[in-house]
Amino acid sequence: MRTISVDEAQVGDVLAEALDDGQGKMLLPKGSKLSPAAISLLKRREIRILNVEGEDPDAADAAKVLEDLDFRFSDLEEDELMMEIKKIARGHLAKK
Amino acid sequence: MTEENKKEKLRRIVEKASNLPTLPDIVLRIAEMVDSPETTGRQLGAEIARDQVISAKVLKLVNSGFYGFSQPISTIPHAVTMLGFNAVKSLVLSCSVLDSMNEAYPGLWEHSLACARTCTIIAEHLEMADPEELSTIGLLHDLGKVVIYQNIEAGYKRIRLRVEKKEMLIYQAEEEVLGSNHGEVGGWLLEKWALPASLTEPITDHHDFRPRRDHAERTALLHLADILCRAESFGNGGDRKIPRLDPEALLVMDMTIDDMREIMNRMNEELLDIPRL
Repeated sequence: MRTISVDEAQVGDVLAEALDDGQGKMLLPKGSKLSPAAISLLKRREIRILNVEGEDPDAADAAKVLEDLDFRFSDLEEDELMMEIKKIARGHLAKK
Repeated sequence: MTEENKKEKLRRIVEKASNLPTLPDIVLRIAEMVDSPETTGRQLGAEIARDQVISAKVLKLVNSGFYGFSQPISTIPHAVTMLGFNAVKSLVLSCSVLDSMNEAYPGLWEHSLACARTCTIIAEHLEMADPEELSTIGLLHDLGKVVIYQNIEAGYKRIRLRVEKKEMLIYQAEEEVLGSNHGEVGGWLLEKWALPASLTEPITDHHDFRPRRDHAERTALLHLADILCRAESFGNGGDRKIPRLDPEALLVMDMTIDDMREIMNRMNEELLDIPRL
């Protein structure tokens, strides 16, 4: 699940949680696939953020970068010096 | 064939390589001028400036950001003054090879650029003389990979196959296939062009650090710069694994982990324009 602003919502996104209008009235149930009309409705009702299914693509990229770092250093785990270098690089890459 | 014969054969191929310097006349004249103590920067600049293609390439290299000059350098004599004779000479001679870097290994140009700038950062950290020449060493350190690509087609294919299938380092695959690595190959070429040992030795030895050689401190600097660029994923050297840092290289530079951290932090602040591949 990821949290997005209504402006980032794309047609086809699937709601991970039901959305109500803030006063208890359900607007869309969990599992709804967003249509252009549904996105317009959310904007009209001034819904600002929503939870949708799927991973954040940026978070997936970040995870891949770190996985790649582990692979590149995988033959060097016994080498303390190289592990220090890896730790420093990891700090930099994790922030990207 | 023994390892030694294999190496000799390879050396002959490299030295005879027909598609290395594209313009032997100008190359020879420049080489002679650089070696003569009477040549002035103005004369050398004027000679290079006679060839527009080479001049344009050299200026493009000088201004591509790896030397970090704040003002653009627009004339060859200015470049000679800023970089020194040997740096300009090696750039002139390497133009045709540098053009093919990303054909040999995608991302190699970016890796070389990152390495050039990292050499400068380390040189400044250690307050070493000649940061511009060290930057040139960083730029050219993988020249041998391109020379192998351009001249030894079957060997290059076998090396790439080993790197991809067995996840080997390129230099190790080269040693298995050719009996020598790209550091030595690049070094032979630069020696053939009569560049001084202060420039050729670090390139020759960057995967085989030898602490008692004449230019061990420069080699140590290049060896570290190459590994840090790979650790931080700036560009791509052509293989995915990272060579092991020789601890003696740090001893020669009198460096600690804290020094390395400072250097890597500076790389992260300053190499923002180089893609991580």
